[in-house]
Amino acid sequence: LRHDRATEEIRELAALYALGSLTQHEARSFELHMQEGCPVCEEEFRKFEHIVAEIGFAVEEAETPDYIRELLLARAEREPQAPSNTAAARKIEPEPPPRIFSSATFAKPVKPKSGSGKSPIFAWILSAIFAALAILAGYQWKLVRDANTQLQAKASASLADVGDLQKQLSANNGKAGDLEHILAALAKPGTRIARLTGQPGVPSAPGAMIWDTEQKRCLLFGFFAPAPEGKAYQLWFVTPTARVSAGLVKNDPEGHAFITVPVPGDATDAAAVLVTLEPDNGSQIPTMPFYALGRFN
Amino acid sequence: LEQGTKAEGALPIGNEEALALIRKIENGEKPSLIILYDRTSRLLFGLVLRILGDRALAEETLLDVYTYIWKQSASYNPRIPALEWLMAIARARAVAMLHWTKPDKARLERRAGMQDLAMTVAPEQQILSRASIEALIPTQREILEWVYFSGLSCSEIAAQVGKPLGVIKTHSRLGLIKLSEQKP
Repeated sequence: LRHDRATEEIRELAALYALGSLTQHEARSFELHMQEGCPVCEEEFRKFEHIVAEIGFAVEEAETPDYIRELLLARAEREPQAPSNTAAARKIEPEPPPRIFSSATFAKPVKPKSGSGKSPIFAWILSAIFAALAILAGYQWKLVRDANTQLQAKASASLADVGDLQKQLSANNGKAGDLEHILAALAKPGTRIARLTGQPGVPSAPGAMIWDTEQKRCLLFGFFAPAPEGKAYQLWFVTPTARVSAGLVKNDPEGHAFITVPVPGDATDAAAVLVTLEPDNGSQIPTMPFYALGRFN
Repeated sequence: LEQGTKAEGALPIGNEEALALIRKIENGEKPSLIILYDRTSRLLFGLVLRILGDRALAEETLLDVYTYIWKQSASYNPRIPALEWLMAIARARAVAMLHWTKPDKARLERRAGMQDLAMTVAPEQQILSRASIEALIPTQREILEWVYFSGLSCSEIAAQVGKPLGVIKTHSRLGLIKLSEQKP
């Protein structure tokens, strides 16, 4: 039966179908009616479908926990996608929610048919068994779900642990590499060393500078507290006549610095090295007080 | 693929951007799935949390929603705006979860505990929707919200609230018609 115009009854059915608030039987009938081809009902449904979506947009947003993102990534790695152009792919909307345990299911127990030849007591026993099985299945499902949630939390924690271990490993590899550099520099003949010490009134700044006179470059390593906002550490060579800038010292967020700097041509006779705190684009002359000072041996 | 960072400060996402991401997800691009999650999950989580009223269940459902999007992105039909498709999935999965678990105690207080966060998904659409719903007469709004967020049939709701079935159906229909009249 095709409709030629939208009546109030059709509008109501279409509106309630779009809201998902028809009973399963009513919804199935309306679906079949549309599948048989009734453009009037189809159009009414499409109109209401968009309006229903509007209700969802009125909710307030809520902050999501980070672990879901990690679990989603893990699931995407694990679970294959449905291929295109399959029966599932041709479907327009997600399947309606299963209503296995809807209140209607429990509110209207199925009565045995009269004249079926089976005793009502037998039917009640069967009903009771099914009800017990349903409760048991629900309980089991809840147990599995809880266990699953715990496993997900553990998996998330394990992922975080693996991440930490990878960071530690990477940091240790970095330290090993740094030590190799230092040892190689120290082994060279003609190497000069300056031990950096913090100056009065500034935080402690332990470190050292190894000068490879053959390659005309220096290796600076040490710990400098993170520079204040808008400030940066600057390295200077102190010669008998001048203080020659060797550029800014970049340290990591924890304060560790490990850099190689070329020795400026006019600083080959430097007797000491200085670290100062300057504006973050550097200075032409060092600003007092000095942050750290070291004299070459 | 960057892990552990969110697209904070990104511009609110609209339908076209969401559509482009869904197309990429359909081609198996996992980074696009994560971008879509970063950009849309707060609204979808708000919806799921509102329906379920239980944070743990809502988190579980949110993961389920995006897993569904990952697996079934090929089923997306551009006849429906992309964000509406996402919302439809979120609502369907949350209502399904609701029927399975029935966390009834928290549902009455589902508004409590919601945070007033900045809008990250189609803010104009959110503002218009809120205004349209606020403009409904209180009974219509109450019944329409009940129908939408509970996923129950009108007859189930009529039984729960102790009102005639006809009243529930009429208010639902009239409420939707009123909302459609307010749409620009």
